[in-house]
Amino acid sequence: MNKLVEKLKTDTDNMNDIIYRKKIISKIELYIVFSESLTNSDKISDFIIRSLNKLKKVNKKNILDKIKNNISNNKVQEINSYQEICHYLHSGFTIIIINGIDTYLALETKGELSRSIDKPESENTYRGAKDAFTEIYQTNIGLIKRRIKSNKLRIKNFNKGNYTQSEIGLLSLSDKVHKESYNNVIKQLEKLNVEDIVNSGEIKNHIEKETKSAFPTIRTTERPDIASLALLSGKSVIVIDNCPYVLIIPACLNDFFKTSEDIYGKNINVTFTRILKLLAFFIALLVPAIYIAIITFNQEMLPTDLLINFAMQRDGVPFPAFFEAILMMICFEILREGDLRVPGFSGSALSIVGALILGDAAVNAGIVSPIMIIVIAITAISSLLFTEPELINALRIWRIFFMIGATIMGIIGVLVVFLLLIIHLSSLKSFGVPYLQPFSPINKKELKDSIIKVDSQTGGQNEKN
Amino acid sequence: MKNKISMLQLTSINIFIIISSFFGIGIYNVYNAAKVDAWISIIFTTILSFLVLFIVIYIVNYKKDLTIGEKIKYLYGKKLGTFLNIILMLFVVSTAISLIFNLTHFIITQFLSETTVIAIELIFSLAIIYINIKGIETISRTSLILLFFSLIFLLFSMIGLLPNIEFNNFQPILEYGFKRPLNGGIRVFLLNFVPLFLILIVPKNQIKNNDKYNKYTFLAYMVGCLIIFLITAITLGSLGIHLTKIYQYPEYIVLKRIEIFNFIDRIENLISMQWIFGLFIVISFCVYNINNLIKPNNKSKLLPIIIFIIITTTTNLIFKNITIFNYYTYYIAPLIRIGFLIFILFIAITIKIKRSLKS
Amino acid sequence: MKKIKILIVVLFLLVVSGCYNYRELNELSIVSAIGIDKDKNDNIKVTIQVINSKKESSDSSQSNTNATFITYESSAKTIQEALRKVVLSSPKRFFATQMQILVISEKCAKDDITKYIDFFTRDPEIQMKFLTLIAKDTTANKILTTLTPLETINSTNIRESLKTNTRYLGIGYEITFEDVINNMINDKIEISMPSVIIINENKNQDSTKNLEQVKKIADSKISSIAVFKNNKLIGYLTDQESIAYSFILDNIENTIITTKCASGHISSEIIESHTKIDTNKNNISINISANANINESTCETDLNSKKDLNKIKRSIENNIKNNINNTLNTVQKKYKSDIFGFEDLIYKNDPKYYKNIKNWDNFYQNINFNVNVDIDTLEKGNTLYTPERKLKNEK
Repeated sequence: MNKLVEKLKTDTDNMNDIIYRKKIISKIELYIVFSESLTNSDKISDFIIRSLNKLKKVNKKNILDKIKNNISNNKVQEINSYQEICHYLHSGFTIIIINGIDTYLALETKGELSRSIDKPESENTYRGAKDAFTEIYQTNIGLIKRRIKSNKLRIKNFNKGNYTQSEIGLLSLSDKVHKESYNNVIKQLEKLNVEDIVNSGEIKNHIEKETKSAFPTIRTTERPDIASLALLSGKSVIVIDNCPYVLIIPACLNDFFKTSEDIYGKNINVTFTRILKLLAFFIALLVPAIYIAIITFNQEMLPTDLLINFAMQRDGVPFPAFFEAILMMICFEILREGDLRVPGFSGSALSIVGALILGDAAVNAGIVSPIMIIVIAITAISSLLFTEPELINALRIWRIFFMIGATIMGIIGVLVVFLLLIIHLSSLKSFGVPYLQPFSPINKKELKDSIIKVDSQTGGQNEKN
Repeated sequence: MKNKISMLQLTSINIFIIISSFFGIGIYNVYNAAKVDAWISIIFTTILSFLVLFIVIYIVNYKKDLTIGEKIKYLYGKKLGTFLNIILMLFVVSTAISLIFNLTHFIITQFLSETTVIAIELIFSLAIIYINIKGIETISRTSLILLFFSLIFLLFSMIGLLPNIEFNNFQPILEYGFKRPLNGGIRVFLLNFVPLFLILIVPKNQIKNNDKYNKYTFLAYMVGCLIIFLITAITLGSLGIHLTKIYQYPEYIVLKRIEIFNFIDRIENLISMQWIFGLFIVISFCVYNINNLIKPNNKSKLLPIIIFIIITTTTNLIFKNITIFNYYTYYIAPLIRIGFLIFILFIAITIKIKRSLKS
Repeated sequence: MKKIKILIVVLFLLVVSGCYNYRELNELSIVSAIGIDKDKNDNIKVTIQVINSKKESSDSSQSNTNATFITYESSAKTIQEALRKVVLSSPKRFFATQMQILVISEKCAKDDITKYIDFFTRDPEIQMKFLTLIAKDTTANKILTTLTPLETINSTNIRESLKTNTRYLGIGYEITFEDVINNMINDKIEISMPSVIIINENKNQDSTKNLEQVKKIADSKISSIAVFKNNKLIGYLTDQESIAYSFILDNIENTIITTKCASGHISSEIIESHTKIDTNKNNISINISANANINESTCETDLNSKKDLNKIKRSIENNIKNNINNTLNTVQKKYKSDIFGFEDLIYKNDPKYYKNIKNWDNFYQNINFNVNVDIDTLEKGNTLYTPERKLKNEK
C-alpha cells in the first residue's frame, strides 16, 4: 500500500466519496484517486482508464512521460506536494499516484455541477443580450472573453479562503484601465484576509473602503455585457468562483443611473430616461419628507384649494404625519421583503393583503390619510427603478433621515439634510475616484454620457479612436 | 500637496463668496445708498472690483505653496506674523458673523417664526462642522454641486420674473447725479468683493491645472457681477423702489410674484434655497479659513466645532435684532472692509518690496 | 469619543425636539378672508372667515348642503387684540397665509385706511398677495357671511369673479394688498381699489335657505372702483368710468363697447389693448391702440364695405375716447384725486421739470389731456354680412 494513499485515507476519515482505484501496469502499481461527486465518471473511464490500458513497454523511468504522452485528457498537471494533491482532488481532478515516484499527475475530469447559462433575473432588458453569469468561474470568464477578443485583457488571480479556496479573478484591459483604482483594488485584494468566501458580497464588504456609508461604491451585475462595457470604459471587474454576480470597480453614483439599453437607444430617448431616473432618485429621497414638511410646517407652500383638500383628508387621522409616514413605509418594506422571499404560489395572497388591507382598509379606518398612501406609493415605485439593491437600501435610510429633518424643522430641516447628503456624497471616494465624478469634479469625457447623453459612441468609451 | 481641487471648484467658491454677501446685506446697502439708480451702482462696482482681482492674483502667485497665513509669517517673521494673522482672523470673523446672522434671521422671519435662533444655528452647525471635518476637498466639491442647483434656481426665478418687470420702475435715471450710485457701488464693492480675499487660503499649488488661475478667477468675477446685476435690476424692476425699500429681503419677496402658467406659484420657499446654499458654503469656508489660520493642515475634529461655537456666540451677543444688524452693515461693516482692503494692500506692497530687493 | 458623539446627538435632540413651529394640519383653521368694520363704540370689528375642513359624514354620495365656512367676529381697539379674543371661541389656531381677500367697510375707508392695514404688513405669516376690496353700501361682515350659490366659499367667489371681471369686462381689476401698500408709501399716487356689493339682500342670506331659492338669491357682486384722496375714501366711479380707468392704467384684457348707429347698435369686443402715456410739461397724451371684433350688429351698415367699416371703427374710437375724457374730467375736477399716478409719471419722465412744481393740487387742475384711440384691425366674426342685409342683397 502506498504511504500517500494511506495518509489521504486517514486525513479524510476514509470518506466514501473518494475512490482509490488500484491498477497495475507492467508490474508498476499506480493509484487513480478521484472524488466521485465532483468528477464525471465517463471522463475517467473513457479517457484515463482506457488510455492507461493501452500503455505498453513501460518501466519505472519512462512511465510518467508515457502516461503524459498517451493520455487523452486535455489538461494534465504535474504536481509534487501533498497539499497540491488535496487541492486538485477537491477541485474535481483525478490524481494518478505511481508507487515510488514523487511526481504525481492531476488530470482534469470535472463533472458538470452547474446549471446552464440562463437569462438574467434581476436586470432585465428589452434588447440586450440575454445571457447571465453562472456559478462557474471559468464559464464567467469565458462569457466576458467572448465579448472582448483582445490580448489586452489581463486576468490577475487570487486564491482566498482557508476552507473554500475560492478563486478570485481581477479582470482589466491593460491599456484602458483607470490606474489609481486598479492599484487600490490590488492592494485591497492582497491585504484581504478572510476565513471563507462563498459569495461576492463578502469580498465586497472586505475591499470596500467607505464602510460607514450606505451608498454602494461597488457595482454588482449578473450580465456579461454590462461587465464587458465596464471593462471597455476603463473599469476593473472581479469575478469570483461560485457566484453569479461580478463586481465592477470603481462605481460612482452616475453609474447606477445607466442601463445596458443606453447603448442601443437613441441619445434623446436615453437622455429622457435618465432624467426620469434622476427625478425618481429625488422623489424616492424627498417626497415623504417634503410632504411632512408641508403638512406640519410650511403650509403656506400649498395653493389654497389643495391645502383645503389636504386638511379635509387629514381630518380625523389620530397620528402625527411623521408617524403616519413611518407606519406606511414599514408596511411597504415588510411587503417588499416578504415578496422577495416568499415562494411564487403565495405571492398573490401577499399582494391582495398588501393592496387591499393595508391600502384601502387603513384609509377607511381613518388610520392614515389617502394622500399618504399616494405619497408612499410613488416613493416606493420610484426607488424600485434602480437595479442595485444597495442603492435602494441607501435611499431608504436617507429617506428616513430626510423625514426626521422635516419633522424637526420643516423645509429647512429637509434642506439641512440635503446639504449633509451632498457633503457626504462629495466626500465619498470609490477606490480613489470621487463619487460624484462627472459632476464634481467635472469630467468632460464622462459628462457627455451622464444625465444628458450626447456621445453617439458607446458611452464615451471609444474616446481614443 | 495631496489634496488637489480643480480650478472650476475654486471658481464656484469664488462665485458664492461674491453673491452670498449680497443677499440681505449688499442689497440693503445698495438700495439705501443709491435708491432707483441701484443698478448703475453695480456697474461701478464691476469697474472698481478689478482692483481686488489684481491683488488676489498678485498675492497668490507669490510662494505658491503657502497659504495666506503662512505667507504672512514668512514675510514678517514669527511674532509680527502671528499678530497680523490674528488681525486677518478678526476680519474673517467679522464676515462670518454677519453671514450667520443673515442666515438665521432670514430663516426665522420667513420660515420658522416661532423657533429660537439657537435651534437653527444648531441644526446648521451639523452641516458646517461636518463639511469642515471632511476638509477643503469636500468643501470645493460640494460647492460646485450646490452652484449647479443655485444657477438652475436663479435661472428659473429670472424666467418667472421677467414678465413682471416694468420699465417704469427704473425711472428717473440719475436724478441726483453720480454721487448716489457711486456711494452704492463702493458699498457693494466693499461688502461683496473684498471678501474675495478669503480665497487666498488655498495655495496655488494645491489646485489642479492652476495655469488657468487668472482666467478662471476672472470668470468667477464676471459671473458674480452678472448675477448681482441681474438680481438688482430684476428686483427693482418688478417691485419698484418703494416696496423694495420696506423689505429686508426684497429679492426674496420678489420671488413670491413668480407665477408660471397660472399654476406654479408659492415656490419662493424652494427657489430661495439658492441664498441658503451660498450662505452655507461661505460660512463653511470662513470656518475653514480660521481653522487654517490657527493651524495649517489641521486634522483635529475639535477645532472647527470650537470655532463655530465661538462665532455663533459672538453673533448672538452682538446682533440682538435686525436694527442693530442693519446699522452694522450700513455704517460699520464698510469701514471694517476698508481696513481689510488696506491690510491686504499692505501685504501686497510688502511682497512687491521683497521681490524688488531680491532682484 | 463614541460616548461624546452620543451625548452630542442626545443634547441636540433635546434642544431641537421642542419643534417650535410644529403644527399639524388638523390643528389649523385656514383663514380665507378677513373683514374690517367699525362698530358703534368706534372699536374695530373684525370678521374672520375660516374654512371648515371637517370631513363630511361617511356618505360621500349625498351632496352636503352645509356651509363649508364659518365666520368669527369680535371687536377691540386694534385688530391684533380682536384676533386674540376670537381665539377663545376657536379650538384651532388661525392660519392666515392662505388669506384670499381683505374687505374693508366703507365707513372705515372714509375714516382713514392706513389705520386698518398696518397689522397686515407686519405679520410675517401673512402673504401680501391677497386682494383688497371696499364693501360698498354695506358692511364687511355682511359680505363675508353671505352664502353664494356657485362657490361654496364666498371669498373664493369674490376672488374668482374679480378675476373674470378683469379678464372679460374691465370694471375693477385685481389689486393686491401689496399694490395698495405701494400706492400708500408712494406719495405721488392715490389709492384706488375695487368695491364689492351685495345684491338681493334678504333675511336668509347667511343660511342655506338662501341657496334653495332660484330667484333673487343674495350674492356678492363686484362693483366699480373706489377713489381715495389722502388715504380717505371720497367716492366711487361709475361702471363706465371704471372701464375707462382700466383703459388708462393698461389693465384691459377684454371689454365690450356698444356704439350707436342710425338703425340700431353694434357691440364690439376690444382685445389686445395697449396704453402708452406721454408727458410733456403739463400736457399728457394718452395713446391707446387696440384690436376689435364685432360681436353683434343690428345696424343696416354693409360690413363688407371699407367705408362702413371705417365708420364703425371711428365710432368705437370716439366712444372710448369720450368715455376716457369724461372719466379724466370727473377724477380731475370732481374728486381732485390723482388715482392714475400722473404725478409719479411726470416725476419719472422729467424730474427737473417736476422740481419746479410747487403745489401739485393746483398743477393737477391745469393738466391738459389729449386722448388718442386707434383701433388697428376690425374683425367680423364668422359671418361676412349681417344676415338681414344679405337677404336684401340677394333679392
